[in-house]
Amino acid sequence: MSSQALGESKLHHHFETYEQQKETSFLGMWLFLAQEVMFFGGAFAAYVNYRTLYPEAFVAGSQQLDTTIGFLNTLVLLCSSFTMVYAVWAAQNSKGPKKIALGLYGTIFFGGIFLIVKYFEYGAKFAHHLVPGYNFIPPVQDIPHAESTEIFFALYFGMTGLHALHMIVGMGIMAVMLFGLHTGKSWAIWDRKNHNFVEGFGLYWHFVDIVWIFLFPFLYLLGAHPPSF
Amino acid sequence: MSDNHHDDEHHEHSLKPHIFNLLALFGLTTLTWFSAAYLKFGEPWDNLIALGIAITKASLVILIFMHVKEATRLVKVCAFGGFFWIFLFFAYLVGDVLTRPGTTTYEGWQPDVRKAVEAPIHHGHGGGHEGGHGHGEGHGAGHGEDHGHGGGH
Repeated sequence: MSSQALGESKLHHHFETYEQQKETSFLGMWLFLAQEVMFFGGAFAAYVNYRTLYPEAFVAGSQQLDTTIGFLNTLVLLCSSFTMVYAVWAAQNSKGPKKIALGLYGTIFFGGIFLIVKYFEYGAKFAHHLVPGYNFIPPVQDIPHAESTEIFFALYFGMTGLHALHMIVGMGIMAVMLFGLHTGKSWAIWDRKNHNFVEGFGLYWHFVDIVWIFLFPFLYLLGAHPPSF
Repeated sequence: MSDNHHDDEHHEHSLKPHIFNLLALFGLTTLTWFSAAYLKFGEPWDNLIALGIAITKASLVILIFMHVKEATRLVKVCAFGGFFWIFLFFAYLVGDVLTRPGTTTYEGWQPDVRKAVEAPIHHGHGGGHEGGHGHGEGHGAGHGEDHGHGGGH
């Protein structure tokens, strides 16, 4: 069933054309994302700062993370980005609410897998006394600034935690969108002319994906496994 | 721009570029992981490869998944500005911290990561020194200071 049967998508009264409405919506979303870059930028700056001061401690910390799990989870997150693109594509081409919903369910599914894997990763850190301020014991004692490995794990939990929080918020918004689609709400009619909600949310979800694209090498890969000396 | 009819008859967007993009992202992720975990080119190549691939992947996501390639100029400027800011930020940040007394490059010594790498890795549950916590706790407090490679005080 096409969305046209349910009615036309909205052109809000303060806009002249659909084009103008779309442009306004995406510009606003990109300004929000620019703010998000600054927000995460601060955390990455702290990482760079402390890594420069305590390189051995950061290598020791990075060594405790499983690169294979990080790698597989990155693939899962990329899949969620693709299903999001599918939802945007369906809205953009007036494919109807069912296909949009399919894309959103897929995104929630892959996002959910990512968070479950993250839950087990966090659990292992608790079990191995690597949680800063709670039960931290430096995994390697015999290096300069061994106690500063705690800073690595503070950043690990802080940055991946903020990333996960963004995903949970995103999944909440998707739940609202799915509710709108299933109950045929007038604000949830998305087609060729107005799919700004879906695409704007897509921008957010892809941004969260980009944050992880940088978190993965910073936390798991950088200097984690230097060649044997 | 204000012509609605033009928008109505807009050509069908294809899903194909997104599928290719996903495969490219899979490939780059595999490459960065395999390179860091198995090939191990050593410093500074490992870090350059990992960061280069991350920037490439982010660019692919921004241009294709986020439709910036087809966006209007205003949106392009806004998107570019947001990410360009971080390059400026890191250029000054790194220029500052790396030239401070007490950091590795300033003092001319290389960090000795050998011991850090040889440490037992906790994979999954039940591994490592699960039994020796009390011992480890007493150990951790006093350590580190004796090894502080002579910062610039």
